[in-house]
Amino acid sequence: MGPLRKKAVPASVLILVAVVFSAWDAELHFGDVTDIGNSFDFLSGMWPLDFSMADHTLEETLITVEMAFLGTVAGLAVALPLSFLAARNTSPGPVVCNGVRSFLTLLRSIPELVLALIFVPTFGLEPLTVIVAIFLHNVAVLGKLLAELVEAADPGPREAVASTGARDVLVALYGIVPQIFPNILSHYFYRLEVGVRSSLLFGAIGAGGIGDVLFLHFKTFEYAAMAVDILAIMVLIWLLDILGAFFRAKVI
Amino acid sequence: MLQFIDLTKRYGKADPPALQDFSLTVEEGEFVVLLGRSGAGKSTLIRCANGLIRPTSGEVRWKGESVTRAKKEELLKLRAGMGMIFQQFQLISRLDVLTNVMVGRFHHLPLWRSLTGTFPPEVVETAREALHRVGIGHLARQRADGLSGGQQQRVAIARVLVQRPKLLLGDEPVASLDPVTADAILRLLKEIHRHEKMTTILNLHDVHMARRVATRIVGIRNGRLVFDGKPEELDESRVWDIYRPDDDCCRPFLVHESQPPVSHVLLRV
Repeated sequence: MGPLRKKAVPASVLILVAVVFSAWDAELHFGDVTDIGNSFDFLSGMWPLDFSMADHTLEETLITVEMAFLGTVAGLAVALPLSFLAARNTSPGPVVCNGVRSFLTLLRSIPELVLALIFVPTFGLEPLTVIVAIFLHNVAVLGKLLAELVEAADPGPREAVASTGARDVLVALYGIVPQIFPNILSHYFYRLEVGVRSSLLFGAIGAGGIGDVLFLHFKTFEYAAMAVDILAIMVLIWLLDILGAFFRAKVI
Repeated sequence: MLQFIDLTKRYGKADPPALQDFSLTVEEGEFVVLLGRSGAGKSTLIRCANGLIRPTSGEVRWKGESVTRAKKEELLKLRAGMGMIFQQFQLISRLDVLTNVMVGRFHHLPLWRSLTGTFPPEVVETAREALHRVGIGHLARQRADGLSGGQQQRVAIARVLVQRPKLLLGDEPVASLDPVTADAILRLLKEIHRHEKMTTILNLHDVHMARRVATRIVGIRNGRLVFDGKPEELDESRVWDIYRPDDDCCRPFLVHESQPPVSHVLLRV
C-alpha cells in the first residue's frame, strides 16, 4: 500500500489539473444545465410516436441494410484472399506480405466518411457512394482481422492437406478456412452491424438510407417521426445480432 | 528407393541441429521404424522426406528425383506419391469423413472440382470403398471431429489409400492412442504395407511395437544415426544407446547404473 499511496497523490493532482484545464479551455458553461428542460421538451416531443411516415422509414431502413450488406459482402470477398497474402504463415513471400499489410494499413487510416466524400464527385449523393466507402473500409479492416485468424490457425490440417500434393489454394481452402469459419462469420456480422451504423452517419451527407430520413425529420422538427426512425435502427441492430448468433451456432 | 543424403537441419542458429549429416537409404518394400527420444530428429527426418521441411543442407531423393531441389510443380507431384499420417490425425474437423478422404485425390482432380467441392461419382465411390477397407464405412457422413482417436486415424489412412502412394510416412501415428487401438492401427498399416506394396516409414515410441512390425529399425540420437539393422539385432544395449539420457537428470528414476535398465522398461520384458 505504501508505494501506491506515495504515487497516488501526485497522480490525482495531475489528473485534477488536466480536468480543470480542459474544462476551462473548452469554455464549458455549466450554468446552462438550468436549460435541461429544453431537452425534456425535445424528448417529450417524440411522444406519442408518429407512425404516419413509417412506410417511408421502413423502406429507407431496408436501403440502409442493403448498402451495409453490399459493402461488407464485397469487402469480405476481397479481404479473404488478401488476408492469406498478408498472413505470415501463408504469404508467398515477405515482399507480398509486407506490401499487402502496408496497403491495408494505409486504407484503414482513411476515415470512412472521407472515403465517401472522395466518391461523391464520381457517384453523386447516392447509395453507391456509401457502398464503395463501406467496401473499401471493410477490405482494410477484415483483411487485417482475417490475416490474424489465418496466422493463429492450427498448422496440423494444413500439413495434412499439403502432404497429399494439393495446390496452395486448396491447402488454404481446406486446411485453414474450415478452422476459422465461425470466427470469419463473427467478424463479418460485427462489421455488418458497424456498416449499418456508419450508413446512418452517411445519412448526414444525404446519400440515402434511414440516416437521411432521420436527419431530415430532425431538421424539420418532426421529433415524433424521428423517434420511429430511431426505433427502427434499434430493432435493426438487435435483429442483426440475433441473425449473427443464429448463423454462428449453425456452423460451429 | 528413398535416399537421405548428408541431411543437416538447423531451426535456429543457436540451437543444436535437429539432424546432423544424416544419411540413410530405404529400399522399396521395406517397413522402417525410426526410434529415438523426443527431440531426436525423427519428425524432422520424416518431414524432409516429402518436403514439408527443407533441410539446411543435404538432399532427399525419391526414386532418383530430388525432393529438396524440386520446383513447386514437381514437388506437388512427388508429394502426391507419398502418403502421410500424423500423431494428432490432422483431419479437417468441420468437414465430413468422406470429404476428408477425398483430399487424397486433390492432386489428380481438376482444380475447379476441389475448389467447388463437386467430386465425380467414381471418386466418391473410391473414398467409400477405402472407408470400408479400414472398417468405418458407416461413418462416411459424420463430421470428422466427432470421431474417436482410432477412428480419426482410420480416416487419415483411408485418405492415404485413395491417394495410392508408393510410400507411407507416419509421424508417431499411434502415440495418441490407447494400447489396444494402437495395436489395431499398426496391424492395419502392416496389412496395407503387405497388400499395397507400400514402402512404409514410421516414427514410433514403443520398442516392443517396433520390433513386431518393422523389417528394419533405425535409431536416431541427437540428429545422428546410432543404429540401423534388423529388429532382432536391436538388443538391450543398443536400445540403451538410443534412449540413454545425455545428462544425469533421469538417473534417479532408473534401477541400476551399471546395467542398461531402461530397456527393461521399454521392452516390457
